[in-house]
Amino acid sequence: MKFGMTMKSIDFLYSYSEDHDKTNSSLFSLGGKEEASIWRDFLKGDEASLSYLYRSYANKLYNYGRQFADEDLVQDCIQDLFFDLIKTRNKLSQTQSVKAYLFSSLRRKIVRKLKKNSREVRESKLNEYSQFRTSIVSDNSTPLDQFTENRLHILRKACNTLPPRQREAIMLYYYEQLSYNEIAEVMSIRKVTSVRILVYRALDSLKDLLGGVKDELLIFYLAWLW
Amino acid sequence: MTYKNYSDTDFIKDEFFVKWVSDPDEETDLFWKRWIANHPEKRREIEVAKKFIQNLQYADEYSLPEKMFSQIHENIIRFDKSQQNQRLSNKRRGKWWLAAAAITLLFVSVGIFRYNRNHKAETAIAVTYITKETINGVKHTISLPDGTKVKLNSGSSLRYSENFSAGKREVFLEGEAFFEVTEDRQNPFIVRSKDIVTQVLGTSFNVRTYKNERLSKVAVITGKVKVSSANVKPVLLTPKQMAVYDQNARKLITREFDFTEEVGWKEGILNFMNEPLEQVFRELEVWYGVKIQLEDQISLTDVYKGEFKNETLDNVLSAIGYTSGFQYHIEGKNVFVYQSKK
Repeated sequence: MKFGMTMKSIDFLYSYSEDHDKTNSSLFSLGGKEEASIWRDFLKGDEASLSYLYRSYANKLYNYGRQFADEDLVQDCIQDLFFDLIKTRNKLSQTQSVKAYLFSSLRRKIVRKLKKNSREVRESKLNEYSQFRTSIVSDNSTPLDQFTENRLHILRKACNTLPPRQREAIMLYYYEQLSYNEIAEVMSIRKVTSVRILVYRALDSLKDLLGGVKDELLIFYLAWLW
Repeated sequence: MTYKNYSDTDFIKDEFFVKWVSDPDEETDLFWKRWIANHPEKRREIEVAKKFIQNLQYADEYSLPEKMFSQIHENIIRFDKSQQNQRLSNKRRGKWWLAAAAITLLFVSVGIFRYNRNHKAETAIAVTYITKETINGVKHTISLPDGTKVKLNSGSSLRYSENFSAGKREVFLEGEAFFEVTEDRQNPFIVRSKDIVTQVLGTSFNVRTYKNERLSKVAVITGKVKVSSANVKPVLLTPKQMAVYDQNARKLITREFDFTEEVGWKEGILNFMNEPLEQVFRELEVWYGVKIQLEDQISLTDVYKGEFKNETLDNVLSAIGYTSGFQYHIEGKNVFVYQSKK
């Protein structure tokens, strides 16, 4: 299982072109051109680029992984992931998004290990409601009025009533700023449309929760629920 | 739905808004700053949506313990160095392959070159035609050299020879069009389409023959029209009559028709007569020039009956979605349709 990332599986990751929607392909190009050239240098065998990739992504990957797995497991998987990259570097191709590639590789590793563990130790399946818990931090840059404050408070509570899969998609989109194409890659969802619908459903639920009821009542309800 | 009616969650859902908040550029910045200035009453919704997008984070944020961070870093660099030697020994083999690849490429490019030359020779003898086309979402009226008026529906094309006026009045139609033909008893007007031929002297009628539809239709408003197809007996239509050709059954039948249903499109009326939702979506795609993408597991067994006159896509979808139980989200030229929760 160590070095499973072969050329073939990478090609597969990018083969959903029939559904590749053009509306947002470069919505959030994080490193943009610069990152593409770092990746290229890394593929050529440049050690500094490898080091750069590790330094810029290790903590992001760790934070993401820790949302559904424990400390030791995530640390192992991150090291494994970079070993794989080095091992297979001359088989890897230019990737459209380094971040999506790294996130999806890490996610697959963690899921595989979790499955293996749960076969060995029966109880080990993480309580899925503790996965991808979200929050909305308040910055004090602009003082908000009571209405806005309340609304955000409800949104914060409401987010955590969503199924974990929806929460994950929402976090990858808004927090990690991945495009729908990239989320499809990370979450191993074949169709980009399915990812969009996952996010839309989540927001529909938020809207429903926020819509009908008077605000104070809803806060009470959600506080009780959570 | 326009931005005026958006709630905070609607803004959160809107890609153009999200783009502005997370990664603004000149276009988004110009648009949203102006929009907000013109809609002060939406200040709160915008503020909530903005804060949500900017300040959403995990309830528990983690980072690697510093010791672990440098430990893994060292391991990786060490592993990389140990792999370097192996890579060097592979280099020579790599060059050999490069040469082989270059030779293959040479052969392939010769092939392409030759193919291109043959291709050009073929197209040189083509007859010159004038083609008028409408993309999805657009309707267009054309005047032919003989004075005949043709209203071309969305996603259709009309082709006719440069010598059209000289004698033979003949056009080739793909899709749907309404004809008001100038009378000329000496020269019949002929519409050739997918599987039927329509022939008239002077009259108005509608022809619908979309490539992906099983039925081809000709509906007559005034005058007399002859419709024929290969291997079937031609039929003669008078006003209020239509001919329907079924490409599976290869049969041509005549019947009476409802004006709005068959010709309403030219007055901006979108009409569905108990049509399966798949068909409804296909027509909406052509009518509004959008692409409708359905959720994978969505089950659309419903048929829909209804009529809309000059309505926005949003209003049409919201009406159909309400009775048929689906949700949708419009994102530019893309529409995403998914099952409503039970």
